[in-house]
Amino acid sequence: MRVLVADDSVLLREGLIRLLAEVGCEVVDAVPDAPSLVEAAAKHRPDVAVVDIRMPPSNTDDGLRAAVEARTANPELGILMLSAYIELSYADVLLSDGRGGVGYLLKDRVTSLDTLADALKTISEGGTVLDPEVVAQLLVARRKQDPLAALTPREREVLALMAEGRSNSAIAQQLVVTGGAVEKHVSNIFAKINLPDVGSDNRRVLAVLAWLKAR
Amino acid sequence: MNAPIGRILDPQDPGSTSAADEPRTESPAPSRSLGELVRRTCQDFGFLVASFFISLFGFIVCIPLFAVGLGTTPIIVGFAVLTLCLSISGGLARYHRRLLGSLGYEITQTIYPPKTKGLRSRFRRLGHAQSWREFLHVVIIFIVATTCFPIAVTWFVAGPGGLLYGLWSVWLPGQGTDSGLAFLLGFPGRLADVALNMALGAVFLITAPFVMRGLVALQAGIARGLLDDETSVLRQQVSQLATSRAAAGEAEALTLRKLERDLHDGPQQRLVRLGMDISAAERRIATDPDEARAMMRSAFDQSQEALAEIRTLSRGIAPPILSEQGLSAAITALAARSGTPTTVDIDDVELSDPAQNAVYFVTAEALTNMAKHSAAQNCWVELRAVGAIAVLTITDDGMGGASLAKGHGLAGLAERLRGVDGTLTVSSPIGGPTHLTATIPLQASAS
Repeated sequence: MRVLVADDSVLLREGLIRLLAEVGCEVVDAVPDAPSLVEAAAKHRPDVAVVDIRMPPSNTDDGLRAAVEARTANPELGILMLSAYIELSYADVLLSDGRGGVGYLLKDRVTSLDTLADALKTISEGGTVLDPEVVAQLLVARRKQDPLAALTPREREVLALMAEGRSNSAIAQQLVVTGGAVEKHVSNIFAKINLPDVGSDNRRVLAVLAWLKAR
Repeated sequence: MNAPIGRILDPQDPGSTSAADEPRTESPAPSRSLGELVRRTCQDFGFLVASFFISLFGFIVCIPLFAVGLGTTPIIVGFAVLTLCLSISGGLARYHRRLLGSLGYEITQTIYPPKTKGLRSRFRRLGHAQSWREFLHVVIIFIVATTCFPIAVTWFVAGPGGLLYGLWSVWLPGQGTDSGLAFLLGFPGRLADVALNMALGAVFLITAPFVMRGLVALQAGIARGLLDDETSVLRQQVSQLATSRAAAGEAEALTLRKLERDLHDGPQQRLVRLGMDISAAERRIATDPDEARAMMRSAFDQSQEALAEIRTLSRGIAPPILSEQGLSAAITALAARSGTPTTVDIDDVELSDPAQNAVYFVTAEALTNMAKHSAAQNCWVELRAVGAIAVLTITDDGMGGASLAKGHGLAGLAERLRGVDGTLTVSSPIGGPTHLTATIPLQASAS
C-alpha cells in the first residue's frame, strides 16, 4: 500500500514513517504543511494519505481542508485524519460525501500498530474508521425518550463498534462471540432504533452515524 | 469636602500621578521664614488681581452670550450661542483651576462628554451639568473677585505706604496745615501725623498675609464647590478599571491559548512518538533484538524530553520559585538560564501577586526575545520603586529593531501589564541598544 504522510512535527513524521514501514506500507513522501500535501497527493497519487488536522500555514484545520481538496482532485484517495483532540465537526466534514474511504483517529491511537494497520486496510477498501472517542461523544444520550436507553449493554458495545466502522467479523473477534451472535445483535439494534438494515458494508456505518448525529 | 478620595489630577499635566488615599491638599503650612511669607503674599495678591480681570472678562463675555443664547433658542441659533458661552466658561474655569493649583489648591479638572458623530454631539455641553456649574462660577466669582480686588489692593499698598509716609508726605498738598488724621484725633504736629501713619502701615503690613490668604481661600472655596468635578473623575476611574480588567482577561485568554499550543507542540507530540517507538520496538524484540534495543533507547530519550518540556511549561504557568522565594530570586534564576550574560539589580518592591507575576513574565519574555533576535552581548535587568510606581528596565546591547507591533512577542506583554494598570514602552533603534521599560503602580498592588 502506498501511503503519503503529512504532519508538521518532524518527530511524528519520523515516528509515522517508522510505524508504516513496520506494518508493511510504502511511504511515498512525507510533507510538513497543507499546500505541499495537495501537491504531493497529485504527484504521487498514493492509496491513502495520513494527515495531521492541525498544520501550517494557519495551524487550525488546514490539514483537513487540504485533504478534502486532494480527495476532490483524486476521488480514489483514502484519507486517515489524525488529531490530538476529537472534534465532531471535523468528523462531519470527512463523512459528508458519504463515500467511505475515510478515517479519523486520535493521534494517541496510532501508537498501536494493529490499530494503524487495521485502519489503513479498512480505508483502502473504501470503509470508514472512526475513533472510539468520536463514537463515545455521539453516544452521549441527549433525550429522555432515547432509543439508546432501550439497548442492552452488549448491544451498545456492538453499536459503538459498528459506528467505528468495524465489520461483523471484526466485532465478533473483539467481543469474543460468534459471527451469528453479532448478526443477531445487529438486527436487534436496527429494529430498536428504527433503521432499515442495509447489510454489512460501509453504508451501514454511515446510516448508524447519520442516525447518531441526528438525535 | 475633605474626605480622602482617589483622584486623577489634571490630565493636561503629564507629571501628575493619581494618588489614592491622599487627602486634599490644604493650604500649605505657614512658613517660618520672612522671605517665604513675603513671596507668598505677593503670589496671593497676584492671584487676586488676575482672578479679578479674568472674571471681569468672563462676565462681560458670558453674560451677553447667555442672554442672547437664551433669547434665540426658539430659532435654534441659541443652542449654538449657549454652547459657545459654556465652552468659554469651561476655558475660564480651567484657567482658574490652574491659578489655584499654583497656590496649592488642587481642584479636579472636568472631564467633558466625548465628541461623537452627528449634530447633537455639537451641543453636548448643554446637557452636561458640570458645564452649567462652570457658567454659574463665572457669575458668582465675578461678584466675589470684584469685592476682593479693592480690599487686596488696599492691604497690599497701605502697609509699605504707611511705613514710608514720612518720606513721601512732604509732597502732599496742604502740608503744615493741620488736616491729617492725627490732628482730627487730637494729636497736632507733624511727628504725630507720621507716627500714626506708620503705626497704621505696620498694622496693614502685619495683617496683609492673613487677609490675602483669607481672600484666596474664599475664592478657592467657591471654586471647590462649583469646579470640582468628582463624579466625572469617578466615572473615568470606573472606565479605566473596566479597561484594565478587560485587558487582564484578554491576557489570560492569550496565555491559555499559548499554553494549549505549547502542550500540543511539546509533551503531547513527544508522548505520541514515545508510544510509536515502543510499539515498533515491541514488534522487533523477537526478530531483531539489537534494533529493538536501539528503539527502546530512543523511546527512553523521548520520555526524558517530554518530562523536561513539562517542567519548562509548568514553570511558565506559575514558576514555583516566584511564590517560594520571591521576585528577586525568580528573576535571578531567569537571568542565569538566559544565554546572554545578564546583570540583575532588583530593589525590594512591594507588589501584589498579579503584579509580581506580570514583572516575572515580562522579564522572561523579554529575555527570550533578546536571546532569539538581538544577538546581544550583555543585558541588564533593574527594578526600582520610583515614588508610587515600580519601574522595570531591561536593557541589552543587541541589534535593536524590537517593537510593540502585533506579532512580536512584546505585544502580549503590553496587554498583560495593562491588566495590572501598568504600561510598557520600547525604545529599540536599529543597531541597538534596546530599552524595555515597564511601569506598574504600587497601589495597583495594594489591593
